[in-house]
Amino acid sequence: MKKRAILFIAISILAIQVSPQKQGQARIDSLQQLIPKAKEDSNKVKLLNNLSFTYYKINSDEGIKLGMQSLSLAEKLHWKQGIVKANDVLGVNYHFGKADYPKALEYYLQSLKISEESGDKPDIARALNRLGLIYQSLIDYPKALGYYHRSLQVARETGDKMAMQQVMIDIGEVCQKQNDFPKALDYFNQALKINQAIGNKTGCAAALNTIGYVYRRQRDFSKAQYYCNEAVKYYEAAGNKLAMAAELEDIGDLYRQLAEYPKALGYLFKALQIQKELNDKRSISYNYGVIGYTYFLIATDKNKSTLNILFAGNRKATIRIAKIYADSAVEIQKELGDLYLLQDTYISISQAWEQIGDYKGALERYKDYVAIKDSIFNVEKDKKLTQLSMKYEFAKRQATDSLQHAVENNLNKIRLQKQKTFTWLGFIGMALVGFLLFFVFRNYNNQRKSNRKLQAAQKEILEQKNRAEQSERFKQQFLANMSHEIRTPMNAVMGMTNLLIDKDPRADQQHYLDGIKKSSDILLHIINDILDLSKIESGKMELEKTDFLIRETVEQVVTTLHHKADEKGLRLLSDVGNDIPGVLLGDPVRINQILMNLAGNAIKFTEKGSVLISVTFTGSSPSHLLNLRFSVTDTGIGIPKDKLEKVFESFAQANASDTRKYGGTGLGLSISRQLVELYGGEITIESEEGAGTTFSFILSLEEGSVERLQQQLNSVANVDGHILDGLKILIADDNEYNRIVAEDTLKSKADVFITTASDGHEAIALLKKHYFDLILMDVQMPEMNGFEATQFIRANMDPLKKDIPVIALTASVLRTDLDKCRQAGMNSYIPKPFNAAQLIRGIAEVLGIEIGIAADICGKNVEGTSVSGKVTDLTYLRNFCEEDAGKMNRYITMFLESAPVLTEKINTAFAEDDFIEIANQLHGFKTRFIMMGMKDTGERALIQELKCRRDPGNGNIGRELNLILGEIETAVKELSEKTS
Amino acid sequence: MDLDKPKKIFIVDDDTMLTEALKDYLTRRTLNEIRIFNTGEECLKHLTAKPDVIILDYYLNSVQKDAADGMEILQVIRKHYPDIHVIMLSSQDHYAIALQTLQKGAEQYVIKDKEAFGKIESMIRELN
Repeated sequence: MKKRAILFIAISILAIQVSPQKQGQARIDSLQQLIPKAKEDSNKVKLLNNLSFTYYKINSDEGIKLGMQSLSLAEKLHWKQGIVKANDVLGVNYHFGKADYPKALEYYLQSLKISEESGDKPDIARALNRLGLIYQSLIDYPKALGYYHRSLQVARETGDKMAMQQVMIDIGEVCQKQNDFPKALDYFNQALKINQAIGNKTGCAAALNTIGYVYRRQRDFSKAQYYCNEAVKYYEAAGNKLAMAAELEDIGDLYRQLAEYPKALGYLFKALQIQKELNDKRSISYNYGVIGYTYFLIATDKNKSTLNILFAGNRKATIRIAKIYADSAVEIQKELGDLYLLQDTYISISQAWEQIGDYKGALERYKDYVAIKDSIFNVEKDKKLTQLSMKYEFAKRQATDSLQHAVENNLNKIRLQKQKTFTWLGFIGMALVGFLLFFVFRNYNNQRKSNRKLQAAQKEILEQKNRAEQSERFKQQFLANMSHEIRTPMNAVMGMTNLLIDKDPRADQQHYLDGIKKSSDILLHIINDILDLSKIESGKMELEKTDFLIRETVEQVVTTLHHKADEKGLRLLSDVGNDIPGVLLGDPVRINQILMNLAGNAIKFTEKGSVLISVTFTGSSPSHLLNLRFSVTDTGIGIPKDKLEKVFESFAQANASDTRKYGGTGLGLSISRQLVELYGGEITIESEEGAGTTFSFILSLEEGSVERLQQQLNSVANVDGHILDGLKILIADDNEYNRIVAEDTLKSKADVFITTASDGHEAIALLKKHYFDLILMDVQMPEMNGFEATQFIRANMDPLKKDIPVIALTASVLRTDLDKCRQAGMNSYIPKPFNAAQLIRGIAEVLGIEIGIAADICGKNVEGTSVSGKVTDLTYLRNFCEEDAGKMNRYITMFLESAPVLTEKINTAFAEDDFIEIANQLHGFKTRFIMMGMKDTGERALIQELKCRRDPGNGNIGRELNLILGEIETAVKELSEKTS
Repeated sequence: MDLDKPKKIFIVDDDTMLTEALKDYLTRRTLNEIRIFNTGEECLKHLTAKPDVIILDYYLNSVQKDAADGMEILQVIRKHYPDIHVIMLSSQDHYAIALQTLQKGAEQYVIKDKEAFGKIESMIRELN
């Protein structure tokens, strides 16, 4: 019953009258009838002005037409007051009707000028007030306040109380907008007093309303309520229904904020009724929005009392009504073209829908909101432009005015002199004035010229800046593309090489594979070099701070390069000073990179002798930093003095021909130098041609912590793939080879279930049909790329699936691309090319699986048999059965019956190499081992079960299985004795 | 006096020794109504009987190869009977699997070991 009643109310409210605005139209009709009857032309002007003023809200085009008629008539009559008023109504039509501020300003200024000439103070006060209003519209508050205060001054002089209270309210409003609440209240209260004194009810109401608003903004709701209610009374007394409705709506809104929904609705509907009588669509639409929102709040409020009382607890029906109101608000606002109102409505609806889980609706409204926001942005931009151009016009006018002023002054002087004497002095004066004028104009011209020059220069600078930025963007884009284009196939090459090496290749195959592996490592190294350089140059390179073993880092360089040194018969040596602590805090990867570049270079340019990498302690700084001197000394060809600086330039080697001879990108030294500079150091070179070169640099590093390092090593070393066992993973990649690499790499380390997709659409289709724990998503795919697919999943999938973790597989390592991943809603990324450990760690991190938590069961000592002689222990069973012999016998019998079956099945499966079957059989016996107290056998069985599932190729399984089956046989003997 | 209210409990596991023992254990003190199913599919057929608790094995296809595994069954139960409590039973002492089952709506995850029965019993008692 109640539900139907609510719907009925809602629908009846929605029937909006289509008739035109009654009140305004009636006034216009009566005025129009009067015009032809007006005998005196001045009366006609008055009527036209009134009519024009009435039109500004309804049809400003008509208003402007009438205003122009009035203006020309008044001018013909030379009736200044009429001209002033005509300018004023034209200004009002342009200001409030058309929002054409420059035009409005022009008319207002004209109105001010003429009223000042005629000295009509009320007109002056009004014009000043209008000017304040226009600057308030343009959010230029200081200017607005300036005009308001001038207007107030003039009104005070004449004692025009009406004008005074109006300006006071305007000033208070600006103060309120600037958050100066005490001042605002002061002005509003003054206005209220004046209005009360002169018995101006509408004025009182307006003042009360503004006071209420200030209290509301200060969240003093009880005061706000009091003043709003007072305002309603005055509006009602004054018969101003529109304002009264607005006031009632405000009170309703207040109660809504206080969560007193029944009261809120009461006021809102009262307001709506009046607004409908007046057919004021703007207010109606706004009120619809507020009512809809209130319904929504009632429906979603945790405190269900209102919902229960008003709507019999019917949440769905209440939400449906909220929707009807909201949609009606949107309809009307669209019709009115009120962007600001629409914007507010859209975002409120979107948020509301989101809150109740109607994501599709929320998204649609959000899209609407964004579209409106864009168009509002354009409008605001236009406003800002208008403001700027007005400032410019104003300054220009001032400049011309002062120029004219100067000229007029001079001409006046000349006239005076002329009158006094007609002597030659006059001619001299004229000549002087001529000169003066000449200079003034020349100055003016020069200024214009230099202005023009300045503007041109600025324009050029701006263009250059744009060009530079664009080329930088191109460079970044190019690097990102190249990085991606090369890394994608590199991922396949390196991944498949690793997979092949793991498959026990023949010796000759191993040799080739090592070749591929090494070459691809080098290729990746070169790509990384290029990317590093661009990172450093764009200031995006950051040094890490981790604990590392300095001796190991240096030793690594030696290990990596000693083959090269050996090939050339060179000795490669390293020496780290005894006084240097073992663990330091810094970026080992970068330090390794620098030393690798320097030492690699040294080997390249040395034909015989040795290359020495040494680290020496040179003292500590006050802040406990250790100053370490790293140097790489060779006995090579040396570098000519004039080329010492050049070696650091990118792509440069001492001789161009060296590139062919020695290879390399020529980036190594350049990168090394910049990395050292990032550490605040500098690379120095000492070189003697033919005797050798020493590159050295000093780094200031903190001493590291052994404990931290140990933890770090532990967490990295034992990445056990089996922590991922049982996961269902979807891999989306357009490159078939990369799919294979990702799938096989994961499968080689864990028992995971893999499904693959070749683009975003396919991935989404699969996700819709099946369940997955995680998606590995390539970023660049045809049709629908990884970002789009992820966004789609996040926005449109059903709630159970939309939050599925997505890891980006990206060949790009540029920050901007990684940011894009996050923006698209991806949880993490794994850079290509990746190795198994990176992949496992990446997945584990996203799923919150602790790395290394699963101890390597297979690694446990599995040798050695039970020494107690007995494999069974019935303590557990006895406790379990609470000494009930009958029950105990039942379980023992179950075991005895199933044991031979197990033995047979395992033997058969083993003969058929069906390891999964063996695992299943062992698994099915687990409880039996527990019940019969066969602890050791149970553990052994578990280990073998896992081995069978993961690593069945291992030759030990047969022996272990025999051991288990032997123990089961022994158990059967032991248990048979018990039962018999 | 035991005030525990008897409950309707489904045990789903293909290990006959386990189901038998668990049934014994859960009826020692309370008059729980226990039904045993060796496959998930069997259990699903009887869900209309509205059990209070289902104790569900993770690996359900070690005996019947084409049977659905515990996770699949769990999801079906969750979809159609969100109010039934599900305790997942597994011999996998893996955090990942525990997490997975809990994410899919299992209330508890119990490792099959000596303490398993005791844990399950107290969990069921706590459901009161």
